[in-house]
Amino acid sequence: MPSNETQKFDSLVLGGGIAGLAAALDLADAGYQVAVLERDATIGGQMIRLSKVFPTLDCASCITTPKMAAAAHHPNITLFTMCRLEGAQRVDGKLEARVTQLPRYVDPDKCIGCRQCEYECPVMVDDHEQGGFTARKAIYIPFSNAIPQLALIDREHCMMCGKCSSVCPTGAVDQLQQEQEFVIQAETMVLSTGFELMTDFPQRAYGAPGLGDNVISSLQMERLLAPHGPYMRVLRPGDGKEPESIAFVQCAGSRDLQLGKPYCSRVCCMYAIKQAMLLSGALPLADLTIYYMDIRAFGKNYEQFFQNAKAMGVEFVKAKPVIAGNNPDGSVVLRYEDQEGGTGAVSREHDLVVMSLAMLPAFSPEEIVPVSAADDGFVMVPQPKLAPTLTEAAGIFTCGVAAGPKDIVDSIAEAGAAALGAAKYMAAKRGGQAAA
Amino acid sequence: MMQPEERKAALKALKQSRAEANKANAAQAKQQKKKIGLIAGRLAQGPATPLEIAQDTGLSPKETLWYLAAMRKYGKVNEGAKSGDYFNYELNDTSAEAC
Ligand SMILES: Cc1cc2nc3c(=O)[nH]c(=O)nc-3n(C[C@H](O)[C@H](O)[C@H](O)COP(=O)(O)OP(=O)(O)OC[C@H]3O[C@@H](n4cnc5c(N)ncnc54)[C@H](O)[C@@H]3O)c2cc1C
Ligand code: SF4
Ligand code: SF4
Ligand code: SF4
Repeated sequence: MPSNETQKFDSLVLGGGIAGLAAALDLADAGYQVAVLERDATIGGQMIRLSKVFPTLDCASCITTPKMAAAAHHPNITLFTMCRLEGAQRVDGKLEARVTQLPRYVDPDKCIGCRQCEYECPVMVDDHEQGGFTARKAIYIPFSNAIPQLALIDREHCMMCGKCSSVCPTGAVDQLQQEQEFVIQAETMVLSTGFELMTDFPQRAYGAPGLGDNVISSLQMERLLAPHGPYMRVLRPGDGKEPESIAFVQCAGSRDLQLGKPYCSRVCCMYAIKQAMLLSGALPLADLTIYYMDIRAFGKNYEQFFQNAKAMGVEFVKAKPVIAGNNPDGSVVLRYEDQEGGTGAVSREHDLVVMSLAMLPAFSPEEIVPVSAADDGFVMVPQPKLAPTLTEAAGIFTCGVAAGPKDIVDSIAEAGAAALGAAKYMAAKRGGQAAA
Repeated sequence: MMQPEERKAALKALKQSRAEANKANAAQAKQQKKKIGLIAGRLAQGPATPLEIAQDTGLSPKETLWYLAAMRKYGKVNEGAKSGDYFNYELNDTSAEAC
């Protein structure tokens, strides 16, 4: 629990996803004191929730967990989870960030992460960490490699039956915990608040009958493919069928002026290809189709990855389909204009459809930090070519998807640049001295 | 630091202030327990696919699968053999009390 007093650091990193953690580790290794402020109950961001990552097909959890652990154990890093940044401004040359620590209703100093409370709690809630395909309890630990491994109570669903308190071996449950406010003072700040996928899904653009139980988002597919996913294999969420035919709808919400998202989300071509490749391993007999507008395979080894998918039998259809309906057997009907075959409007059925949804900024800086958002909603970088991590405010840097859609490689490269920018800024302020 | 008596009184006041929400959540938990009981009851007769369980319990196939996944997560159900395109699920122990 943070104390009410002002806590002093060299840098404040807002957002503990892979970009924020990489920036924090670079600064901490250089000797700076870093606070990582995360709104979620665990650090790790979206990457810890992925299955495997393109183009290497490394296990996402195997490469993210060591970074999370390194940040958690670093003597120069302090992690603050479940925190809301209320505002940050410069006062006498230092950034002062007003923070609210949200209650876990569990004492972090007493909880040993044994999950006995979770097993005992009688209330089940959609487990959003598993795409909503299974349940968690009203008291829970987000997932097995969450950091910190601490339980929290979802007050909205708790019925205050007291079972968790009665089974907790350390007396950690504390229903009386309150929000706490405190101040973090720092010289520099790194905005690494990442993204969310579009949720108010564009029915208008994809057909009136509703999306149905077997149309899922790309992040939900990541969970179906993850080794500790909701079913521990790929099943159709509507009824548990092992799907024989899976389709991906690309640019769903992105590159769409009508929806106000004219930009390309940059990673969905590659992750759809990755997911199709992983599916061809998990379900060797399944038909896999990617409906695309253009394939963006821009990074190192990415074109080869795309060619490999084609060679493995993934079908690429140049079209922008709409969801035309759901059949009684649960299959989804897609309808599209056949652009390459010239046969006009075509309908095809698939057991499961994955929407490669637009990436949206997770954080709107205005009125909270003294930087603005660009037209696309991501953090404004006035010199995107020469200084892509520099914001409008001196001493405030940005990296990762906070500044615009990008993959992990680019997010980490930017994190290094942001950390170096922050270190240079501090050294200049201190008359050329690096970290104390 | 609150004294135990003070804590007790504060907890009581908190429960009272949340009485309605607590009641609604308790009703939800009761429904969930009933549905788990139905699924466990069906599985006590032998392994079944989500579709078969749905048919026998009156739950929707989607909801059945959601409960099966949760029961599996909390150690009450195991995945069994495949029948056609669907996997069977079976009780991990024979007690009807699940999750
Ligand atoms: C389905 C899917 C599959 C993908 N697969 C791949 C892949 O295989 N390979 C690849 O290279 N890339 C992949 N990506 C892209 C990858 O997820 C991103 O590049 C990466 O997660 C970006 O990291 P980040 O730290 O910038 O953002 P995030 O991972 O979004 O982390 C941001 C963090 O900031 C926190 N935060 C947000 N707002 C606040 C706030 N106001 N205060 C405090 N904290 C806040 C969030 O809770 C989160 O923890 C995929 C993306 C998707 C959607
Ligand atoms: S709150 Fe108690 S029972 Fe729950 S995980 Fe923590 S120590 Fe275990
Ligand atoms: S008090 Fe709330 S969190 Fe604890 S067991 Fe009861 S319902 Fe679950
Ligand atoms: S990365 Fe591919 S799927 Fe995503 S918006 Fe760009 S072109 Fe469309």
